[in-house]
Amino acid sequence: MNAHWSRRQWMKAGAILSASGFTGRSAAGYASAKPGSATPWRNWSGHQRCLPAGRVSPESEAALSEFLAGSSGKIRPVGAGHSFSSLVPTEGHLLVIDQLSGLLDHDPGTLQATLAAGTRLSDIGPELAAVGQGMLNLPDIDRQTLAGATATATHGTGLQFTCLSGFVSGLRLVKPNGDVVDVDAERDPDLFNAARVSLGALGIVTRMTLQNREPYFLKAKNWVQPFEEVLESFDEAAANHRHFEMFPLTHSDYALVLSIDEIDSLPGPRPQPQDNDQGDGFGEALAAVAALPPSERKPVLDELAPLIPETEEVGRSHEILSNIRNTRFNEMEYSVPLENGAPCLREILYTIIEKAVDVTFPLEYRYVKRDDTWLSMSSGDEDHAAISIHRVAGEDFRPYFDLIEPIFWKYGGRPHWGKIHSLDAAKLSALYPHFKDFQALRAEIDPDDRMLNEHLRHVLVD
Amino acid sequence: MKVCLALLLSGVILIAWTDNSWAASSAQATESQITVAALSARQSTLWAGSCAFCHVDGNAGAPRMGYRAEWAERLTQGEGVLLRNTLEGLNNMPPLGYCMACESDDFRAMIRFMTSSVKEGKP
Repeated sequence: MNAHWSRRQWMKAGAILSASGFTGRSAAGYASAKPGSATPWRNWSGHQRCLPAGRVSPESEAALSEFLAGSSGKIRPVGAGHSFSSLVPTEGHLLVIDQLSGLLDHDPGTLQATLAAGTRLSDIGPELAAVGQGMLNLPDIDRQTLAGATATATHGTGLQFTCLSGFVSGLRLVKPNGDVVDVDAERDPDLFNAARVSLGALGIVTRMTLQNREPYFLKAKNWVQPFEEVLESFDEAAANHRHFEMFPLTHSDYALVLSIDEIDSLPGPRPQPQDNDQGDGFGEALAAVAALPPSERKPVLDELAPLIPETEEVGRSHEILSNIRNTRFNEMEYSVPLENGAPCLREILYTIIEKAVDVTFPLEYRYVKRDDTWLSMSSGDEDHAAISIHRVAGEDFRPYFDLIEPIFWKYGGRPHWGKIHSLDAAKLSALYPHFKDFQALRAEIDPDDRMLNEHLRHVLVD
Repeated sequence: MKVCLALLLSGVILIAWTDNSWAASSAQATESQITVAALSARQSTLWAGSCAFCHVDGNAGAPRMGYRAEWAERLTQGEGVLLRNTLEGLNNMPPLGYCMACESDDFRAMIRFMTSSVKEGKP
């Protein structure tokens, strides 16, 4: 057995092991597509699905505006389909802005750049680097569109960094009636604070200006450490590293830890990650663990975990911060006030052990800076700890998520808009000081509710 | 690298779209001119922004364009199965292969585009 196991290998193997019996498809879901009808839509995990009346993919902002002004049916925008919640499904038309992509303008003085909102995050790094800029931070997954990521307050890691929406200094919104408005904090602060995290309920954001910085390099370090040790010193580590997070192993005393810090230069060509090596016995070892009843895994996992050596990776910022995720999953994530992070995480891990939940997919625990949008999970006066739980796509996530979700509520958690949760507008309203402001603005901008689907009505209106 | 390859390939595709032939001078492993099924300009753009993520350099274990052996089993399954796999997702490929704007006819064209390149491509 090769002892050179990386954090990513562990994460991947843990996810794969959860997927026994997973085929990645559902005959029942596909059968719902009527012969001769439009092409069915599914999200990245395959859990969300619908049969839209059609797809609209405008080639320009003008074409988009013309379409919206000249039509009246239901519309739901879709980015890359990475949301796990039901933001997209519609019987109306899906609106795709993939053709509105790329760098539109940049300012070397302010280090701001304007990007078409359909640009994939994976494309932004190289485009900005070519003009002497780099994004301040990125989320884990790089296939999302800028529009989708900001509409759901998607975030990366670090107390210095807000969610991506906090980097937006201006945007262009095509309202549901086709009207086009340029919005920023000076021209219309209310609409600006609402439209940066809009769930696609206010119209279609077609371009955004981002505050960036000069290009930079990062070094990522991965290691394994006893969970309680990491948690006890988490605040200090989060303050000392540019990015710091951990992935607590279930049914174990250990966590995988990741720190990322800036470096002055690259020591040489960036080696290719070796995470796809399947022949090192790592998968086989964890397969043996997963075959055990959950209550019997801890001693084995606690023997295996310390064998994982520390690894390092260096690269340009966008290469280190964000990448593609191949193993598909469903996820629930809540953000709790920072001081509630540790007790909330401990209670979740204890519950997984106590209830013998059969899950090997590690959790994720990280900090996010507060921001001034109306609906970001970290909006307001305090920083937040984001805690995620996962189930591999194809598994029934509901029993696990149903068990854990009340723990998030107990600690004042706000659900990630793009991830699984069960809260309705009444409960969400109590979590956000500006929720009613958003509701009023939405009703004013979209009086015919053409941007609402069943889920959005549930979380924003009823 | 993936982005570079995708951009490079999308440029090659535009050539293919223009004259319906692929002059194989790119990073692809093809060594002679190969006739490929044509994509419209719109489909070429969509393909470069979705399928190309993985089918250019084999990311996520995807079969690469131009490598016949990697497609061999799939070629025997027929277009209907490949279309169903694309719509529903298979293994690491998400449903719709990241193309949210694609209709079934677009996927059929892209499947023909990729499979025709390997029918005459490198073993």
